[in-house]
Amino acid sequence: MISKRPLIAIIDDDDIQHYLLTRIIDGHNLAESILTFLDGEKALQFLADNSSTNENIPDIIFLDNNMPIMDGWQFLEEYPSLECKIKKKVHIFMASSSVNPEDIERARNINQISGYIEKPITLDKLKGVIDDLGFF
Amino acid sequence: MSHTIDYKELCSIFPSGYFCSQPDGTIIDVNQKFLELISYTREEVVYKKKFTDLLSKGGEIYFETVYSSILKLSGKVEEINFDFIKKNGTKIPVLINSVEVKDIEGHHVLTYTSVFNISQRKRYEQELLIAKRKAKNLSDDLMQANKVLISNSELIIKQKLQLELNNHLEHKNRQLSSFAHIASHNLRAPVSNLISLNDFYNESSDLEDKAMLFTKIEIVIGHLNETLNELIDSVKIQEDINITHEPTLFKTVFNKTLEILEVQLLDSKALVTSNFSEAPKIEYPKLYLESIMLNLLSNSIRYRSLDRIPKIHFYTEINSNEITLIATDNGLGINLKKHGHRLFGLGNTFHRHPDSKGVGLYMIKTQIDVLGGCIAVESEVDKGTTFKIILKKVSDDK
Repeated sequence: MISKRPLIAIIDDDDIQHYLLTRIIDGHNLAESILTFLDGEKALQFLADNSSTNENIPDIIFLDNNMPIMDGWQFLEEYPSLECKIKKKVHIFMASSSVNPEDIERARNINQISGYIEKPITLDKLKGVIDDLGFF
Repeated sequence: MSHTIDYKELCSIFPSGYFCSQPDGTIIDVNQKFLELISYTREEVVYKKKFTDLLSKGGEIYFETVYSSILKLSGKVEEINFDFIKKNGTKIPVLINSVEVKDIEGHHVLTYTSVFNISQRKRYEQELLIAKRKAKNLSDDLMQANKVLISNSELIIKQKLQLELNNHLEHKNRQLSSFAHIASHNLRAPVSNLISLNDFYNESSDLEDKAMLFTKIEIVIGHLNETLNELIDSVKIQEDINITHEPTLFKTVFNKTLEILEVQLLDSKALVTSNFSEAPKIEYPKLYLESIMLNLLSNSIRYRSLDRIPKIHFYTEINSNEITLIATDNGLGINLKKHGHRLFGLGNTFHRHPDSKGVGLYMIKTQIDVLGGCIAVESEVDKGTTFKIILKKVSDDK
């Protein structure tokens, strides 16, 4: 049982998504703090820069799959090379508005993914994820 | 020198058959040739057989109805065909000439008949008939084969049409599935945002908060509207297959593009050159060509490298009968290994640029595809990008 609130990162090119999720998470005190990134590359850069500073590394990442510059899939291709440097378990959830079964199947086959969440991300879905991981 | 002709002798050895009969048909005299023809002896025939005894039943009827009446009417009969029945029962086809001999009062007393063996001729006839039948069969076969060929070629044409239809359907299917994909990505996201924002709006009692939420709702509605318009435009293009192709000069369209982008070109200080001499013109929807050139040129300006003077060159080529438009620049380039598969997708951008919307390449690819062309790209990061667009085949009728 981890008796603290998680550090959550949102990787999504849609700033309205940032706003909505932040508002839900803050509104219900679900996170210690929230990091937001507009594309995978920026998030990856942040993780690389902070790989030795555990307290800056998010516990949970909500990763959009459809983004410019570097999309969710490409992020997941690059991430394993960072994973060994990070001394902390990072739970990545792919968040997508795609109802394409191929996307869901593809996500299921990627080790680094802890789950697939269909957008919109609601309070219930957020709580479910955080509770399942044993935070609080 | 004179020679007395022995008529009896002549009659006897004459090379065609001869017999003499009474009006009731009783044969009273024959020559040797006749006996040979029917393989009887003189004793078996003379005063023993009537003309009709040598005929089949059918022959007898013909004798009564045709031969006798002609003879009675005109005193002679020429070239009547009978089959005589020989002693052994076999038939021999003959041609007969007869003439009536009358006494002083005009009574019919005798008939002289000459008989020509026409077995040989009959055989020829038979052979001719067989040959004719064979020829007919052959021509029937040929006609049949021709029919099969025609129906086969019809089948092939039908299959070809079917194939084309299939391809068309497949293409449509792909379009639909990509449309559904785009709709799922680009429409569902803003709609679900709208719903969430609306929920917050309804829950909130703070006026300032409500106002802030409302501006966000407006922004999302704006995005949604833009996306919808883009989708509608692309659907329009896909239905535009029958759009008119007009003779269009590359130079004219390019100059117009330069005018439209004048401000951006001045800002970027780009060096823009062109050479359309290899293929100066094309039969193509002018609107599409304008859109293609505008998108390519504005991309080249937008994604220029700030480290060097932007150089952009547009030119045409004819490669194996196909008119190709090539646009090359020395700009930022794209990592094709990373982004190649999404390059022409809607809403995909690869550079952090405020004007990047990820529409241009999607739109021109749709336009090029619809007209049966194709677009290819070569690029190296920080070296530049080259777009090659096969627009269409050079028509053969020129």
